[in-house]
Amino acid sequence: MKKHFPLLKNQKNLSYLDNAATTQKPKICIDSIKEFYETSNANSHRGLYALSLKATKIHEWSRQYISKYLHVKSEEIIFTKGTTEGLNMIAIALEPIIKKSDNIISTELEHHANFIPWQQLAKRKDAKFKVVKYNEEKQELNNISKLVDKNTKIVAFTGMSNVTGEILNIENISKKIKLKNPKTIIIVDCAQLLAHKKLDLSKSNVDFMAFSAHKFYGPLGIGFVYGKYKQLEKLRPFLYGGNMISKVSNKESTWNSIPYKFEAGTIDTANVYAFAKTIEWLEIKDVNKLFKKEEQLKKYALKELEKTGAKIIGHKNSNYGSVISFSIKNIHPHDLATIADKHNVCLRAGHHCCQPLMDRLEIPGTTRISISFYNNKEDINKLIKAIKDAKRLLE
Amino acid sequence: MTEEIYKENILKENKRPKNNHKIIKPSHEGEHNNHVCGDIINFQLRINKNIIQAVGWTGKGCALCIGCASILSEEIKNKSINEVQKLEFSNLENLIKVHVPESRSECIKTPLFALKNSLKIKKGK
Ligand SMILES: Cc1ncc(COP(=O)(O)O)c(C=O)c1O
Repeated sequence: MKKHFPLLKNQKNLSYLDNAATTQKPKICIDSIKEFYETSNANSHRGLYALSLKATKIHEWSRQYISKYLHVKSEEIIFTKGTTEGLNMIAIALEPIIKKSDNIISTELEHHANFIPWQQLAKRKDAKFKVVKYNEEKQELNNISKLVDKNTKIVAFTGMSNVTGEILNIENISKKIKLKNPKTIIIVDCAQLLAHKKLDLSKSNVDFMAFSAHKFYGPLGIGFVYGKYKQLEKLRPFLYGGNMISKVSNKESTWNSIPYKFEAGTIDTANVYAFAKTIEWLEIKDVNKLFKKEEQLKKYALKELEKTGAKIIGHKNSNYGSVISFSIKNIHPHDLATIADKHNVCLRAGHHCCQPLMDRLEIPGTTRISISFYNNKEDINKLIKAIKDAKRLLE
Repeated sequence: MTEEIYKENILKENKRPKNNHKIIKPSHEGEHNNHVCGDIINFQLRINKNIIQAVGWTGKGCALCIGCASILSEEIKNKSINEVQKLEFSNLENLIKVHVPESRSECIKTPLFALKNSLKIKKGK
C-alpha cells in the first residue's frame, strides 16, 4: 500500500506510526488538488460564468459523495476547517438554548477539542458541567446515560479515543441517553473514528458529529460537521458573512438555506474535492478490507509490545482500534520518541491533548503508536528495536 | 558539543542525579511545569548574602530534563544570585555538552525556569 502514498514511497526507511495525529496522503488526494486548480478554480456558489458553475458542481458532488459514504442527506454535511472548529461552532450555536438550571455532560476520555468548548459553554451560562469518569474496568463511559436527567441539554463524547484507541458503542449509548431524555442533544467527536470504522448514520440517534479530513487520508485544513436536519433547522448560523445570506439590508438580514447558511466565507473547494476523491479511492480499495488489515497489524503490535514489558493502556477486550498508548518502566515517553526517531520511527509522546485523562491515569503522558493499513510488520519490528535500544541506554 | 543527545554524561546524571532531594530550611522555592509534556521540576535554595549555599530539587521528567537539573544544581552552588540570573539556554547547552534540538529544548529549559522562579519566590520564615 505504501506505493500509493508519495511521501512513504519517497522515504522508504520511514516507519510512520503517528497516524492518529494525521495520516499520510495518497497520490489521488494530492493529484486532485492539482487537478482542481488546473482545471476548475473559481469561487464556487457565486459566479454566473461557466467556470464558477464548474467549481460549484465539483463542490456539491463532493458533499454528496461524503454524505452517501455516511448514509445521510447531503444538506446535513457542513464543511468546516476540522473537528476543532466544528465542535466549537456547535457549542456557540447551541448557546442560546442553555439555561442556568441546565447541565452539560462530557467525559474524561475526551480530546480537549470536545471538552473545553462544553466546559466553557457551561461556565458562560452558569450551567452545570458534569464529567463522566474514565475507568478502564468499570466501563463507566458506556453508562453516560446514568448522569442524564431532565435538565441535561447536551452530552458530548468521543467515538474513539485518540489516546487509548477505545471505540465506544455510539448507538447503544445514544439510545440510552435518548430514552432518559429525548430532548438531550448528542454530539460525537468522530475525528479518530472515521479512519477506523465505516459508519452508517441513517438510523443514528446522534444529533451532531464532527470530523477532520486529514485524519482519514484527506488534506489538512478541512473537515465537516454532520447535523441532523431537524436540529440544523433549529440552529442559528455559526458565522456571518458571504454566501450564507438570503438578503441583507441596513436593518435586517435573512439566511440562505441549509447547509449554506452555516458555511460563511469561501470554502476550500480544492481540498473538499480532494477529500471526496480520496474516500472514493478508499472505497475502490475496499475500506473494510483495509480496516481489517490494520486490525491484524494491531494484534501483532500488541503481542510484540507486551514482550518488551510495555504497560499498555486498555486493549483488554475487542472494543479498541489501532491506536495504542503504552509506557515502559523508567523510560520517559519523550526519550523514547527521540530514540525512535533515530530509528526512523515516528511515534507520539505526551498528553495527546487529553489532560483530564492523564490526571485520571495519574501519569504525565504516554507513548502512542497509531497504525494505518499502509504500515507493515517491518514498521512494528523497527519500533521494538527502538524500544530495546532505549532500554539499553536508559534503564 | 555533540548532536547525540544521549551521551555518557547525561545518561549518568539521569541515572544518579545529584542534589535530587529537598533541603533543610530553604529560603527560596519555585517550580516550572512543562506544558508540552506535563513534566515538573521544583527547586529549593538556601541563599545567604546573595550566595547560594544549598540547593536541592525534586520532580519528574525525561532523561534530558533530569540530567540537566542535576548538572545545573551542581553548577550553581556557591554562585551569586546575579550569576544565576544570567544563565540562558546556550549556557545550559554548554553545561550539558549537548546541542539540544528545537523539539526537545523545553526539556532542558524546565529546570532552568524552575530555578529562576525559585529566585523570585522567598519562603516565609
Ligand atoms: C479525538 C480527537 N478529537 C479532536 C481532534 C482535533 O482535530 P483537529 O485538530 O483536526 O481539529 C483530534 C486530533 O488530534 C482528536 O484525536
